[in-house]
Amino acid sequence: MVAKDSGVNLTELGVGEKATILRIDAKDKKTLNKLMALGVLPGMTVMLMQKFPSLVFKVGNTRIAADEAISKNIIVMKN
Amino acid sequence: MDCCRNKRSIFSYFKNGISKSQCDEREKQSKKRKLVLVGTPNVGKSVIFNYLTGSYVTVSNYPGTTVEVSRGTSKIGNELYEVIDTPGMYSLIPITEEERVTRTLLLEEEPDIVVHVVDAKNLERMLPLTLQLIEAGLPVMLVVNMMDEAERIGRTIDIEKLSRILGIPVAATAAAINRGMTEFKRKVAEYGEKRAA
Amino acid sequence: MARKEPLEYHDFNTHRNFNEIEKAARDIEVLLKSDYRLSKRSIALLLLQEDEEITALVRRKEKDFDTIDKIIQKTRKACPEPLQYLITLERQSKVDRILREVISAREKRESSFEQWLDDITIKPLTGVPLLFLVLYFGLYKFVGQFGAGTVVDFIEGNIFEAYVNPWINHIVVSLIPYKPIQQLLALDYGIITLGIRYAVAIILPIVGTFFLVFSIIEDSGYLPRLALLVDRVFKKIGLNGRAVIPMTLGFGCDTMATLVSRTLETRRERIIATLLLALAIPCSAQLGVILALLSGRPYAMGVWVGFILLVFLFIGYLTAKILPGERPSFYMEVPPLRMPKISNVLEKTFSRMQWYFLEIVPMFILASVLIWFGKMTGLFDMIVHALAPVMNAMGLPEKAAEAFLFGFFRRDYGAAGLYDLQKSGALNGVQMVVASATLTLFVPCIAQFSIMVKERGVKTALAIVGFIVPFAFISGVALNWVLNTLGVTL
Repeated sequence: MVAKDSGVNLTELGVGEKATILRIDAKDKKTLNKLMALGVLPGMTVMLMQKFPSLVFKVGNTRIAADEAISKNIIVMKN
Repeated sequence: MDCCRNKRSIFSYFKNGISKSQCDEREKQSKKRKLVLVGTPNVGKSVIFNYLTGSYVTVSNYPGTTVEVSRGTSKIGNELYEVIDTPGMYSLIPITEEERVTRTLLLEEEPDIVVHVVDAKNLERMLPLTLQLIEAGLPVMLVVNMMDEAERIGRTIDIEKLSRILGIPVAATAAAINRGMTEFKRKVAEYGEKRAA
Repeated sequence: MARKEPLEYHDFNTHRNFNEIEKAARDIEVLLKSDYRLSKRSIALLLLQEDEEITALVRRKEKDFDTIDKIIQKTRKACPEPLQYLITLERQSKVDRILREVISAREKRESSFEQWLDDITIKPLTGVPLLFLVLYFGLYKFVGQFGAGTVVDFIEGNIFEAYVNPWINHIVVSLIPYKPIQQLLALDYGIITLGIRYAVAIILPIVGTFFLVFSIIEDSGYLPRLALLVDRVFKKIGLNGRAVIPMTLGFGCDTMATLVSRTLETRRERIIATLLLALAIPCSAQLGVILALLSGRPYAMGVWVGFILLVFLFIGYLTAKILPGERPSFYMEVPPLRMPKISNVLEKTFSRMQWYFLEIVPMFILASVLIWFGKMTGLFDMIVHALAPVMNAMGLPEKAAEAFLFGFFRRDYGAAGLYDLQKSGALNGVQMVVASATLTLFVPCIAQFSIMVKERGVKTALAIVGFIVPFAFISGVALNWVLNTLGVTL
């Protein structure tokens, strides 16, 4: 596994930037499960589409809207 | 749009008030084969349910819960099936009450066929549930729906091969435009016969 | 052979712990003696993933649960991350491997028009104006002007007032000699001439057009876009973007919306949503009548909208500050925009109208009977008199109290009462705004209240109503004072 200190969180990406998901640091299990069910999983490529008013990102063919608090839990490595 | 998935069932919840007498019918249905539809919200499950059952549908709260389950009857091949539409389900491990009800239902109803409906564009994140259902030893068949939308984004899926790898029947449909539905029904009938034998 | 393959979790070496998990699963399988209907392998994996229900079930069924539990604990300790996470990952890589063999993707060529439309609905710069356009054409033009205007005028004027009412009145008066019974069935406040007329002529067209618009919006995949646009604002009032669905539905029917608010994740959000629905969201019937009431006076309409919006945000903000509990989080899938299927839209609209009608007609009849009873016994006049000082404080004629009293039976009933008052020319612009605003805030209707009790409990429901009633009147007095002090004429 990749060391915990590498990578940035999703909110730190620029709009249009692509990255690979490294891990999900969700505090509660529910959020983790929901994100995983939506296909937000390590190894997947994520593309940030917009940051305001909510974050919108694409994982696979799924587009997901999320607030900053949740997006901060998604740790990625820029491609 | 999973947040909206309750809406229709909530209206049905009221309709249920009127159609209580129809509940008795369920007793009579016990000899029919059972087909349970599962899948995440927004994959066209209800369109498939409506296609199979037509207008004779009863909606009731699952015992002890506020979650609504729709039931209807369908003639598939030469057999009558009780078709059960379940609330949305993402994974075999439930997070919401809806998912908990769906899992309980899969356990309690002892279905003859479990039809897992998935979105062809998002097979990547929906196939894990198929694997879990197979793993659980349930009589699963897969419906890869929204094939038209997948084709529009340039995706082709080798259905035969998928069926071979998974070891279960797989049908490809575009329920909204009525594509592949007859073939799907034929595969259900075939699977039903094979299971009964 | 193929059948067995997807079940194995040790065949790739993406992570060293999978061997451990696989081994643990197999050990547990052997220890499971009872029948679970699900395969033992599935049960074993669910146990490893801390599934509460299954764990409780196995604890109950297996004598040797301790040994099983030991294996689970040991495996959990040996792995650096939650087992569910690891198993999900492994299953996903299995899926990816399968899909590599069956999916072939050509160059993506999404329709540029669809892409463009999709884009402009979620970008704030274009999305927000678009949102107002949807509200303007969907709600104001179609529901407000067409439904509440054209259709209502036709059914009410051309059918009820021209034919049904005179006919019913004639029959009732000539067949039944007793005045009280005549009044129960027909004349000014009768079951047929008032109850059924309001339900069919005023409410049905308004609600019908609203549900049609809502079903189209729902099926087009627009609602999640709405949710992501308003999430930030909704967070300030203790809700998240997801709540936009019950809130929007509230503009159709608050009773229905209160029911739907159960899909919100935390109890805190559900209470806030219930309160705001009861207080500041006018239902389509009420909205339709109020829009018709204020339609000739754009400034009056502006003041009304602004005031209700202010109350909505202010009370939401305050409640969010006061109510304890965790902050809501927002995440949802944004599906592509789709052309709604007409048959689906119609089917949904119809089933919603059916529900509404079955719920509403008995209420209207009940309300007619209660009003009849109130009139007959003089109870009504007493209450109207008792409310006189409150009406005076709001600068309204005493007769307006009747509308508020009706409003308790149904939200729209009250508004329709105001409508009658306005038609007789008894209200000026300021009075109309004050009356409409107070009525919008004033008590939920009987049906909504009963759902509030059912969904949130008696205590919470009573607390909400106990807050709303005085707050509505105080707001009315305050609004009247402000408008008069500023010397506004509307």
